[in-house]
Amino acid sequence: MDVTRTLPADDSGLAAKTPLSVALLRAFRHRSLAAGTVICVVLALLVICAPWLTEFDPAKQSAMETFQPPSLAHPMGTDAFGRDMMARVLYGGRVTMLASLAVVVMGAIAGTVLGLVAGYAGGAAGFAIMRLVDLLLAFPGILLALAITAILGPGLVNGIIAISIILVPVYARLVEGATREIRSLPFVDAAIVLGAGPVRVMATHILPNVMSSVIVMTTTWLGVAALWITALGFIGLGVQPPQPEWGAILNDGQMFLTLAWWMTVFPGVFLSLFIIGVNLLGDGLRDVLDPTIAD
Amino acid sequence: MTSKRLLPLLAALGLALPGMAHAQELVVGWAETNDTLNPVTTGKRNSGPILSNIFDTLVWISPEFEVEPLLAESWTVSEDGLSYVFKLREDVTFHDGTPFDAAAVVSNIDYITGENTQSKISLGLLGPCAHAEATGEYEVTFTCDEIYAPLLAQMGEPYLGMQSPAAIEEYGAELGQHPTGTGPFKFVSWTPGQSIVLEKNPDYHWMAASLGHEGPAEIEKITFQIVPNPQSRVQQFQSGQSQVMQQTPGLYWKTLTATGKYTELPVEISGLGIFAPINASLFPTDDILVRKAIMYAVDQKALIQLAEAGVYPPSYTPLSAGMLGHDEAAAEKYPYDPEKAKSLLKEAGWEFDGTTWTKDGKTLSIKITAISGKAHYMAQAQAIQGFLSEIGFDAQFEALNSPAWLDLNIDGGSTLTPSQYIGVDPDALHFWFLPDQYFNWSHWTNDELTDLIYQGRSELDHDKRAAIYQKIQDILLDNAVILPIRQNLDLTLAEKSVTGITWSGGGFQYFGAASIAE
Repeated sequence: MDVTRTLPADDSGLAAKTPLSVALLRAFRHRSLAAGTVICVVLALLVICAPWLTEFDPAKQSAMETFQPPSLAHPMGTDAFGRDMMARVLYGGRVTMLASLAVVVMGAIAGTVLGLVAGYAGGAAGFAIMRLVDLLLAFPGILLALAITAILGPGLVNGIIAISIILVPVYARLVEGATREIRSLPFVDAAIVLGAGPVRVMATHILPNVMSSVIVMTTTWLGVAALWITALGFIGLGVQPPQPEWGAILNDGQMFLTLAWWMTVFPGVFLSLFIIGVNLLGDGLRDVLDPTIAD
Repeated sequence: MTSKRLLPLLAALGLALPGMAHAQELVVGWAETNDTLNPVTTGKRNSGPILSNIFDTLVWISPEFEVEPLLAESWTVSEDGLSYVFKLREDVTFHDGTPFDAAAVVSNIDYITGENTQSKISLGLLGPCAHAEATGEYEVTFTCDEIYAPLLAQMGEPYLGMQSPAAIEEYGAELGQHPTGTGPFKFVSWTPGQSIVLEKNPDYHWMAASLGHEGPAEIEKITFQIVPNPQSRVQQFQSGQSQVMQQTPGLYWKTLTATGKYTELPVEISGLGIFAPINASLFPTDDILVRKAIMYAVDQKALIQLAEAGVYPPSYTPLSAGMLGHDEAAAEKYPYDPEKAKSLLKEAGWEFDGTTWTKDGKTLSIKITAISGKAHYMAQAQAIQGFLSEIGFDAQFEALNSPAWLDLNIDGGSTLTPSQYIGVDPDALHFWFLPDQYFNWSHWTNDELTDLIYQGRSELDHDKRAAIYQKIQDILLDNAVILPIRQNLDLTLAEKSVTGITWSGGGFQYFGAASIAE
């Protein structure tokens, strides 16, 4: 990913510009970031505009129209229940994309708070929190998600909770390390001497300094979260029928792979594009935002 | 690799492949894993067909439910209907060489009723007649506490297959890994989750007369390859790696049978068919009008079209076609009529605002559940959800793993759930509709119905029994406590070269009379 990181030799004009526009310019020059952004924006627009792109209800069954191959009326064909595949893929995309976003945001918030507290408090409390976090890290992610949904019961919300829990240690470890480092810097001591309470120190002095790493982490894990959400949907522990979701649609289709390819190919293509898009975006953002990578 | 080294390899392959195809060896694509191969402790319908090839029963039931001699040459029923005397064949030996006689039958019944056996289906099949006594070397007498009409037919279910008393003695709790019967095939090996291998019993010469086959089986070896994934099972069959396949998914059945290249064996699994009990203890289906609205709102034919490519015959009554008392006229009871369903809901006091029905501040909300691993139940439940949503029900769907599914339905937390129940006698209904039964998932009982179920059991006259079961079906449908869905068929496909596969009454595939054309 080092092809576009170097700025052009003539960068004297940049000095006058705001940091935001520098970042934007760098982002624009970063090819994978640009490609990732385009893919994600296009996909987001498609699923947001679903009601205008298709007139079909994704849950409406039709006994007369089962297993229709793609046609003008049904550009992506119909499934076993005669439901329009385009409606299902587009509306299902809303679920998959929003759910994966919800997962990383929830995981990031919980993990960051834990990491901040553990890193700032240190000592026995910090040790206890981090060992608990290590305990979570000891289980393979998807196995833990399965165990949690087995306890909570199947469903989209429970699936989101389960996968968020898996992400907590990832953030907690990152933030805890960074917090410990910043905690020992003079400006933090200064703030404490001036009478700032622990919450204020954590929120206004430490958090802003770990934020960029958290954001980079979030974009890199977004793709993984999307895969886990669809995996849960695929094995029937995520959304419940008739609500569409890419993983669930893929599972509907896999039984008929050799007879009705369109049931698997379209959601598969959309899911792959989404994963590729967020991964490119994540890589690019890391290059642009991560302060440890020098220009 | 040089061509010199390649040649012998190719030659070897070329020799091996036709070699495999020639022999009377059959590979069967099997859909489910097995819990055990002990007929007494198995709880699975899908173990039945494998067991019926290893074990013989006292009687054979034809697919039309005719009871024929098998291990018993003849039998008599006493005047009072309380004792059955079976005269046994004298020339039968178990696979381990133990002779089959009256004492062996008694050992089997003692084993089934034994306290430590944990018998599942078998004990229920014997009903009140679980006492056997050897009244001669080859004569055994069953005594019943009360008249029990279903006994003879149920004697022919593979769960009452006769096991070698020596094996029962020797293996104890391990008996399920060492099935030893008198059937046309001997057990060779079982790799759990992968395959079960049987070989021909060369001494076999007592096959039921209606099968028209004398002497031992033609097939030398059967391998049941366990392939639970339907797609893989179909591919295995299409590529010729298996010659027979069970549980063909609807759409593939439609496509593969259309080619005309295969023999179709729609094995009829008798019992209650595929149906969904309607929970009469849970709001809002505690109201008979709401239950009836559900009955009118579901179109069985379209449901099968949606869920299973339309390949199964619909069912409109709780007893399978062909069973004693099956009521053909029940099809007229609840024609598909969504308008009628809506007017019933109005009659029950529900108000429709264009999207939802409400009554006293509550919405018309129901919960449909299905076992998550079973594609056909999932599809049926979703189709039912579609029909009910169509007329404004708030129909929730939940897929559950089977322990959670069992718990929820026993506790009465689910409104509707597709299910199956198998049996050769209409008395099987009692498991679902007598008070306090494990499977009373309608959570509904009725004194008249209870009386009729007991009458049906103790009535020995065929026509009178049929009349009783017709009345029972009327009561169940008039109270709308069961939504019949479709006939229960095991869609089995075989290559044209394989002939003679049949099944015993109840729907248990039998390979004893099968052969492969050279």
